[in-house]
Amino acid sequence: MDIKRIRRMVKVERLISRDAREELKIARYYRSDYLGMMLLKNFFLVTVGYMILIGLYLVGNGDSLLEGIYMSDLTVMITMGIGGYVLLLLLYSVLTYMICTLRHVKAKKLERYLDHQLELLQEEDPAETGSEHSGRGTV
Amino acid sequence: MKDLLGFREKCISFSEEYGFILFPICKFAVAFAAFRMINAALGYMTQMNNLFLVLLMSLISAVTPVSIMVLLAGLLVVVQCYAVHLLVAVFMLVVFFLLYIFFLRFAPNMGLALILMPIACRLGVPSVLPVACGLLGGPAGVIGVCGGGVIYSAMSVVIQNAPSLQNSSSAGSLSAMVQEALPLLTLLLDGLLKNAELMLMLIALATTLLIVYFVRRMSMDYAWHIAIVGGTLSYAVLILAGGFFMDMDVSFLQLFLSSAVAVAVGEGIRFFCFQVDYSSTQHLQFEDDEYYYYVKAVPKTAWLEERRQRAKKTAAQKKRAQGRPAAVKSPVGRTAPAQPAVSAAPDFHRQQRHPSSADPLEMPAVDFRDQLEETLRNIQDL
Repeated sequence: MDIKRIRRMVKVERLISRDAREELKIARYYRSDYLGMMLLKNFFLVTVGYMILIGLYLVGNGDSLLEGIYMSDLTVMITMGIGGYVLLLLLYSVLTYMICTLRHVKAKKLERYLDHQLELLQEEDPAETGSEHSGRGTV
Repeated sequence: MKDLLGFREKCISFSEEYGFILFPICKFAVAFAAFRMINAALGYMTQMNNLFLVLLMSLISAVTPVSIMVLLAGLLVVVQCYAVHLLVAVFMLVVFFLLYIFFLRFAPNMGLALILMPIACRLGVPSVLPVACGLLGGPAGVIGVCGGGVIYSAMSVVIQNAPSLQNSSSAGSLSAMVQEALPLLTLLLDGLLKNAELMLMLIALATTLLIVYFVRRMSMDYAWHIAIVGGTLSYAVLILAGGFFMDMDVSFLQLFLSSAVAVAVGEGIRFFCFQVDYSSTQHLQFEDDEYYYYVKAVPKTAWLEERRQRAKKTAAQKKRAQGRPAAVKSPVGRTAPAQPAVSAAPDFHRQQRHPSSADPLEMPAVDFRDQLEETLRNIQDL
């Protein structure tokens, strides 16, 4: 038995089936597609989250706000609300962009590593992993 | 020490061999403790306190990913809160949802910390989790630990206000419900957002975790010991100082016990995850075309012990073969020539600064250059 080969096969199998399942899912996307999808998801989540926060603020301070409200104050409040939303969205978009870029790079690196390991396995025993079964699904 | 190391090796090999059954059992135990804790703390819906139901949920959690355990625990909390008042359940859902939107989605693997933190708080040992997460994970653990702290505080707010909340009814017209809802929500929100104790705890938890994480990654000797003690001390000092300046009641005994448990757990984790022999540290310096390398190599204790055993065995065999007395010790622990790396590359300078490295049985010669080159090759393969 080729212990080195068995170890490599176990490592690859473990990565594919357990440890790196999420990363391999990410690696299937193009970087731009993945980032676009995550930014869109971020937009919806931050919008809903901000609306909830505004709702909670109004619940907590509704009475005091309604007591001394003037038209000019209302304009300032709406402007502040929209400004806060834009700031929050910008902050979370940047954060999402950075984290998702890192995740995608890591996933691609892992995919390359797996492909390399599979190539090595194929080189070691071409009879077993023939050309008709080449690719990640062979192990 | 040898016995302890032997015990460690046995534990590790046992967990490797029976990991497929051990991990589900551990998950079952954590889930069972979490669900029981939720029922014991909130326990307003008697149907949910059923042991069979708790066992069933724990069993499901044991065989599914951790995220399912988190989901089930969250559902249990919401259902228990619903028994108090509909608005309390809505409040809890909103807290969970906001936590997910603004924090938890960036750290998807923090489910276990999120579950364990309320348990640790309930047991009165909150500093255990940041120490453990700092030793085993990264700075993203702050999200899990602090998220768990917020959930525990939200549960505490519900428990404190439950009698007054239960007295108010949720029936009637819509306008009556809205009229009633506002003060209730304000009560719950104030309990969570204007809670100085919660803020202090979150700051202390985050600081402790970051201190433990950054210190244990340092290359200084005994970094893990210092990280555990330093992190625990920082938690205690922050809580004491915060309690002093914010006029809060801090139980010295509980803080001391919590710190002692945190140090014990941290040392336990260190024993299983990071066993090195600092007395055999080697400092190496060499260069290639692009870089100068300053390497500090600290051998793992298990490996060193294995080498010592092997060296003793080989020495005994040689002694028997030669029929000579055991007075002369030969450097049989060496597997490589005396200075192979130096002769192979003139730029390589091996520096063994530690005095204890004179005895070959104490400090077996290792070709670190070869090992480093192999590691670099592996990295390049990536």
